Amino acid sequence: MSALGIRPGDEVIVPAFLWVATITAVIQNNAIPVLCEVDDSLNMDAGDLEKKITERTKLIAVVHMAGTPCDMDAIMRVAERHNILVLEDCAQCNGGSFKGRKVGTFGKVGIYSLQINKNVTAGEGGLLVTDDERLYIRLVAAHDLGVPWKQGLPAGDTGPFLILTFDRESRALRVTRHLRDSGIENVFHL
Amino acid sequence: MHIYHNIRSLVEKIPLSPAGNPWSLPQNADRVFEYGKGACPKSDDLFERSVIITIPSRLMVEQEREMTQAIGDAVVDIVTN
Repeated sequence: MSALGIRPGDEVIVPAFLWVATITAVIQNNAIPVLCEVDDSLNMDAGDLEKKITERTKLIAVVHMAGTPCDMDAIMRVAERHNILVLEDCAQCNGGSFKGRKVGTFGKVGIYSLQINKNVTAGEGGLLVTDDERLYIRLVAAHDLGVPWKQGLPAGDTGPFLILTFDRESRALRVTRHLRDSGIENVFHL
Repeated sequence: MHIYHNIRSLVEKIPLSPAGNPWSLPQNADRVFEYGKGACPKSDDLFERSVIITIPSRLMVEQEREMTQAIGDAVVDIVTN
């Protein structure tokens, strides 16, 4: 969500049935989680989704729960009507599809889990997909030190970005300085 | 931890750090949201009468039939008793 630019003042719509991590990601970005009703598939109800959209809504975080895909036709219609990004949490629906199209490919980004309980596991970790290269670089940066790399080199201007400080502060400062020395101005250290 | 009102840290808006949480930031201060049971009444109703049953992908057809029968029997038992 940090790679998508979610920040204080933003609202992120999440379903009432989900996993706590989706809400935690919203809170970690100091945005407000807004609950959306689920329908009888126990996934996000597109009808209620539209009612929850405000001028502050920046992201719709759908969660394909228990191997069941959301009604992505209805959800994407609402999202496109209001020009709001969609993130698909496919952690419980690895390999699933909706009307023949793989979940995770409808929204701006799809994320998958390889955690130990999943039907395909690497012990921990996960995967993500996006068709937006600039976003991809930001996603990798958000995952790894906040550094926007591309093929082993600083990726250039990927827009304003926050260096994450859950690593050692001194390291984040060094990275910030290195990126600025490389000519990338829109890098900030908090 | 899958149903919103069971997530205590959300319901009670427990901060990730002593510095506060999103709801106390000036950018968000005018947005009042509650997350306790009742915030999503339609979902609450569904949660109270739904059971998710894990169906392993390697079951034989006969095992699936047995599972279906057992679920059906349980539902009948609940409804009639």
